[in-house]
Amino acid sequence: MIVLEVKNLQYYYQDGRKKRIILDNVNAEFETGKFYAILGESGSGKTTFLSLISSLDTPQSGEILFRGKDIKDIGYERYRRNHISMVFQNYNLIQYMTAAENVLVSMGITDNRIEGNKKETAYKLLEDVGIDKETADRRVNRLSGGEQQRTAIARALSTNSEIIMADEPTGNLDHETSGEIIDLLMNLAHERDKCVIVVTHDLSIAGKSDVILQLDTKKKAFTIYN
Amino acid sequence: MTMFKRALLCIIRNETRSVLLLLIIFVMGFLMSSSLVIEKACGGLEEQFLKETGLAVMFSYDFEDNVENNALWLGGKKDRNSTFSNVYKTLNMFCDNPYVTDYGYNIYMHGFSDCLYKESSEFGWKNVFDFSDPYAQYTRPLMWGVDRTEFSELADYVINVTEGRSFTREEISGGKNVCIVNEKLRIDKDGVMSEIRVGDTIPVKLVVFSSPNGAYNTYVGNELYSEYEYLKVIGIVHYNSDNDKAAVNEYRDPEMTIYMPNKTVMMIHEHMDNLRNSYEIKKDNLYGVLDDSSLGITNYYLQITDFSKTAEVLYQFEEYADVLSEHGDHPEYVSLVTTKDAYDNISWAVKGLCTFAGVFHKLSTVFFIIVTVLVVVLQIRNRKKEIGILLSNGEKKSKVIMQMILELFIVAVVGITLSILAGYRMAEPVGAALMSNTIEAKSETMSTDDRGNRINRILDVDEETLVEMFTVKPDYNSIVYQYFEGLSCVMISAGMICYAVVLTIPRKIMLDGD
Repeated sequence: MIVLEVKNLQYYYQDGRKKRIILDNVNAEFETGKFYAILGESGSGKTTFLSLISSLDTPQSGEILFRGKDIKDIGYERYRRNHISMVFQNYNLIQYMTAAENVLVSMGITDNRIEGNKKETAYKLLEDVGIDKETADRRVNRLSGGEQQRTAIARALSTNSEIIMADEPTGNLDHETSGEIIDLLMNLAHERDKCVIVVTHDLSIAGKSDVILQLDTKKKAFTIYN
Repeated sequence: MTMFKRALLCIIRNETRSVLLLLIIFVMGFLMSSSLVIEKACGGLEEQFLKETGLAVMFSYDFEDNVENNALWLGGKKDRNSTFSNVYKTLNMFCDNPYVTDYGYNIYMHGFSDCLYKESSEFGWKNVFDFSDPYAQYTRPLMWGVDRTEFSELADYVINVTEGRSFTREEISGGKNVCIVNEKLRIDKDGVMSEIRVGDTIPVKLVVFSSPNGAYNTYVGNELYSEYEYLKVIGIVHYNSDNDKAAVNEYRDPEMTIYMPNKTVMMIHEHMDNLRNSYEIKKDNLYGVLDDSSLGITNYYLQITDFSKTAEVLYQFEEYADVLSEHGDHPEYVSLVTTKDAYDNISWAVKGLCTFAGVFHKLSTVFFIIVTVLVVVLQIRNRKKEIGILLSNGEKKSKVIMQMILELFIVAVVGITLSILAGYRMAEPVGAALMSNTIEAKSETMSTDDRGNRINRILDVDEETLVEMFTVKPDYNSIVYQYFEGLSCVMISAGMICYAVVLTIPRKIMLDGD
């Protein structure tokens, strides 16, 4: 089922008088239960695309439709709050909080209904991604990179959003941990019916994905490989 | 997790940041609070001073100030009646004003100033105390406040009642013919006063003399009429010369004094005036005196006791008195010194401190705002990522702003509470020390106003008294104001928070890629 649709998306920077086009007439569709990998050279606009579909930035033209509705109409904040979750390369966790508290903060922000006791749910989510209770109660600045990224994934899960977007989620992790994190994300797509969109350089990740969207630097648009 | 919990967590977990902010708010708040408290305490000191000292007005009628009168006087042509009646009229206007419900006054009509003395020394004016002397050049009534209502108050200073009692209020207000005699007068040889006891009656002879030459000093002329007023002795007093704080000593010998209620004196005077006026003779050639020989003693003085209640409205009274002195028949003779003047005379150190505290308060307020804004701006810069995380999670900007303002508010409330407590604790010793130092430094070079000096002596107050009276008392309004002021200073920084959050673009913070 198509959950996110991108139509004729255009994005450019105004560099003085020169218009520097990053994305030109980009079209794409994203379905739940699938793992998407967005590939492209450095500077091709992968992260820009992610920032647009996550509403952290806005395009000059084109539409981003969530379940057929323009996210502009939904409201960017509400869209971010209720319909998507993000995992970043540098984890982006609140450093003075524990892993569990980071998850709880996210739960407190979303309007989506959280079943049961929030604290217990947070521990459960963390356990699901491989963080035990003792680790969950430690401040995140005392956790390893892998543990922090797992916490970030648990946080992404905590809002019950349908789409999880990840920007180079394994960029700061070793090979083994990277594999574990990607498996985790793939499980979310396949077992929890999430739409997982990952921006990556790593071709091995791309190889595991259901759909690859290759950003063509010249065309400024996607080539899609199923 | 609610916004409030997030704010608390942020304060607790970021100990260094919170403690630094708390410390800054505390220090700046303390400077602001203590200076404000000192300023207010200085302002309240005047009220406290007036409350404690009561209403005291010294009214002076100075004949010598008027050159014309002086010339007439010296030429022996002065209209004695009009001179005194002017004083008396003005005096009555003061005493009968609506702000003094029960009054009294001292009259020293001493006719012994230079000009008079030179003219009359051969007649021994010092031996006579003449209520009705129309040439009394110096008339000084004193109206005391509530704290000086009883005779016993005066006794505390210089006079102890050794036998009998003091005056009752009825005797004072009714003008009864009663008196209190100094014990020294009793042993005056062979006089009426000799061996006098409480309950005895002493005669005071009122005499109307002719004045054949029309001169003021010829009361030794023919005795036209005389009659006696009888005063009942109700008390014997002992004068304590070691504890002489009464300014009255300036003009009389306190050991040779008979005390009478004011109103009695007024009534005697009026009676004497009537006696004199009843003679169809040119007034200038007449005058009435108390004949000292009736008491069989020499060198005695009559002291009229002073009583009054505190006027509730000191300032209104002063305004009223000012109007009277301006619009009296002879305002040029009149000077008025009130307790307020006495305060003004000694309060330069207080006023200096008040001004200093006021300026310091304003400066510290400005400094408080600047420092807090700078600290908050620095702290926001360090929290950009946190703001970005919350915004990328979909948190509303308004909620992020509210959370950060809440954090600031909580720390500010704690800091300001501590600063107010410390401000009140330290303001009194600091204020008193500053005043003492200022007084000490200036005491040698300071010159004081004579008028102020005189009333200050009556009140027995000086600059040190004010330092002792300087107290800091917390009051509800002041505390509320300090909270309001302190929080306002801190909350100006909230503007910086709003500015920073509104301008935050989460993409730039969260996504480092292309």
